[in-house]
Amino acid sequence: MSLFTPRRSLLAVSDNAAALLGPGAAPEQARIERIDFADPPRAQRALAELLSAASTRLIDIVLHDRLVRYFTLTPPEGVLGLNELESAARLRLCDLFSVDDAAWQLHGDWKSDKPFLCCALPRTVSACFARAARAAGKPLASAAPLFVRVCNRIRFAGNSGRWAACRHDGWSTVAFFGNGGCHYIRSSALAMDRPLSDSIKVAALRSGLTQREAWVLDADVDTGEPDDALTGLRHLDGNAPDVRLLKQLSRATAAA
Amino acid sequence: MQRRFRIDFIESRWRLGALGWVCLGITVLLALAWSRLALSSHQRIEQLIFSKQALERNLARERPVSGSIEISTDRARSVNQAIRRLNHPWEDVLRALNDAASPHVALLELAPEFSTGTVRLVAEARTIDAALSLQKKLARDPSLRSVVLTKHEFLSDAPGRPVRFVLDARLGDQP
Repeated sequence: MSLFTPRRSLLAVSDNAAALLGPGAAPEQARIERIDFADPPRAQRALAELLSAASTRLIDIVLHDRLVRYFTLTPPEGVLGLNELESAARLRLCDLFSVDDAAWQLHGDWKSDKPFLCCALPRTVSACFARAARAAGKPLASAAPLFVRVCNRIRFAGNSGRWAACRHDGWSTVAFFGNGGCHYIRSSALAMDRPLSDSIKVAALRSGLTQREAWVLDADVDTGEPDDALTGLRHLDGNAPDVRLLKQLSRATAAA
Repeated sequence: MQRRFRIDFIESRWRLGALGWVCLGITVLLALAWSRLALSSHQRIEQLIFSKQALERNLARERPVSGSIEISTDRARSVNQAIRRLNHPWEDVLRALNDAASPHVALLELAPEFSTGTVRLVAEARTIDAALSLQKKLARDPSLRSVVLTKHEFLSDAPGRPVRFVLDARLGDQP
């Protein structure tokens, strides 16, 4: 963190709980609250209480991948502007997940010439964050799902394609990046007794993308397992604060 | 290198930490001090320029203006003629005529021509020899140059048949 940017607390949010961690604190010291997004006012109060307890003014939010919907979009031919890309993305969201796109806040790594990553969050959740932040008087600095935060820490070099896979709390997200674009992404449940590489193999079969190099982060197992099918496996750092905090959150909610 | 994915459900805002605010504050104070210094320097320079102009005006008032005045060609010519006329040593020409005077010659007309630097003398003599004698005497005088008998005429109607003659001479200072 730069000397010129303010210190921030970290708030991890899953579909039924949230955990607040101050800067430099251990995940075991995180304050955890039950959250029920089906009851927005109650969820907002719980979040506001958590945010008020933060020792810093700014808060970063890491979202459980189960809360969001990931998909890729290939830009339509002759697209003229961002509005057209957003419209196409909303159509694809409805098509893929059979949801009402108006109920979802949509963000994308917008590109005009290659497939790119899109991510949608229910508006009830984002509205809760905004109201809770206002009530607590604490501005929110960022809110991104874990898979995006992990990928943003990877330095992809060159144009060769590579898989990226992340599992935490029994939920895996696998994506394929190459030539500056995102060509495949899928999130699904993955049991703890199955290796993360299984998700990559299934994704490779489905997409026809046969590259064997992959970045993996498996927060559900302590040691990375060698896999004959994937020769270029690189294990990402599972000790990052956001990964550990979500792990602590899932442990706490499982125990409760 | 792959750049960051721009996926963030919070509208990003630029924020500064405490050290950042302190540095920003110092920068603003320095900028204010600099602009104040620049303004006072500018005012001082303007004051000095004004003082210099006032001094120059005072000096000009005390000293006559020595600049060239434009006049027309005709006026210049007439002024130069007047100056030449005034500056010419007429005493020498009159003295030369006086010295060359003879009882046999009567001076009728003395006409200077400043544009050509010549003087025309019209006189009458009893004989042509007296006329030629006058021409020779004037030719020897340094105030006149190139004294030439240009015309002569015997006046047969006048008693004694005098000769009227014209002498053209260059003034001594003309080339």
